[in-house]
Amino acid sequence: MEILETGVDPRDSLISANLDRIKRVIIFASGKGGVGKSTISAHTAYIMSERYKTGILDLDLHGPSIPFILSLRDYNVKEGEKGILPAQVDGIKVMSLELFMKGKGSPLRGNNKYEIIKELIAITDFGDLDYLLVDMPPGTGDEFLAVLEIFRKNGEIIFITAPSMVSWQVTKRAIEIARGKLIARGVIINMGRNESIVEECKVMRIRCIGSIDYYPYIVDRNVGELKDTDYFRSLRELFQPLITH
Amino acid sequence: MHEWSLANGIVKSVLEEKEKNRAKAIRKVEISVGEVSQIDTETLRYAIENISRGTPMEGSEIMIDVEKTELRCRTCGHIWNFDEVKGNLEPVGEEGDNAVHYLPESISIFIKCPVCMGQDIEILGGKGVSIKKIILEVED
Repeated sequence: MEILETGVDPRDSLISANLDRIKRVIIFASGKGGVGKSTISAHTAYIMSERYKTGILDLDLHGPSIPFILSLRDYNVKEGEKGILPAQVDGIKVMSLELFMKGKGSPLRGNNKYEIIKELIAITDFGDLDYLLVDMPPGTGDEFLAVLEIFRKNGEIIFITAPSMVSWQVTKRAIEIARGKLIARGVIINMGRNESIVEECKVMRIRCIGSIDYYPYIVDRNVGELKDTDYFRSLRELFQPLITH
Repeated sequence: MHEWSLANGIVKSVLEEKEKNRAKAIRKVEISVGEVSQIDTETLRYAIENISRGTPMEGSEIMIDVEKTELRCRTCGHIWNFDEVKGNLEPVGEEGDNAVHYLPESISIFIKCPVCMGQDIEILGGKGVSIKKIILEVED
């Protein structure tokens, strides 16, 4: 008889069990800040929730904005048998560090961010979902790398860029870092159109999903008021081919 | 109190390790709980025993150690015990638990250094829950 000693992180099993109950995970990333990742991911979650079981995970640990965009207020963390229950708004299940920190700043260093992300995914019971959308912060540091690792089995990624070449040159770096690790669904040019970016997408062998015009202050409007706007119509058109199973 | 979900993860991980190593039996499981996570170890033990009933983990020796947590301010270097600030953490949950219970590494959001009021705080010692050691019996 031989004795074998081993050690493991119990969160890995919880993450695996939680992700097994989610059909598709779509990550919204950019590399660059201020390009509309949170706005597009929150509004897309709203559109998807009309037909599908949808959740959104806000991983912008320093500047979480999903609860604000979805007008989620005064949430108290609740627990179920299998973990923390996400907040629910308009049929969307929402998890964000903001539900814990409630307006406080988040002075977090590298590995702590990785651990918080892992913990959030391990202890949140989203239940059975068709889609989990993940809103990323700017940058290709700790949060981005954590997501590449945790969702490496079948995570999908959409890159958002502003129409400026300054924004695009940062987004291109994020595309390269994620290449081969997640399923790249394509690039959305937000707040305008830029043919040079469309052409460069071809060179980079990544699909340009399309572009969205600039609509001022949409992020501050109640999401329900946007349903019949041109902006929502363009979002629906862009995502329709992507959200069929 | 998310001890039950943690217990689920622990039992699942141990059983997976047993399968992976084609072990005959699980002799002992050593679990480390960081003081900062404020886990109720009796509840955790009860939950593990309950969940593992009827599985190859039933009857295995379960050892749970609580690792003391110290905090260090990276700004001024002051070191203090988590015990001293535990009571100042505001509850966020319906069950009265604070955020650090769920997300230990988020502590710098919620507390300040008592000397310089800095918030660049490092956790020294125990953090979350980990399985330090699984002792398996395998065939020669």
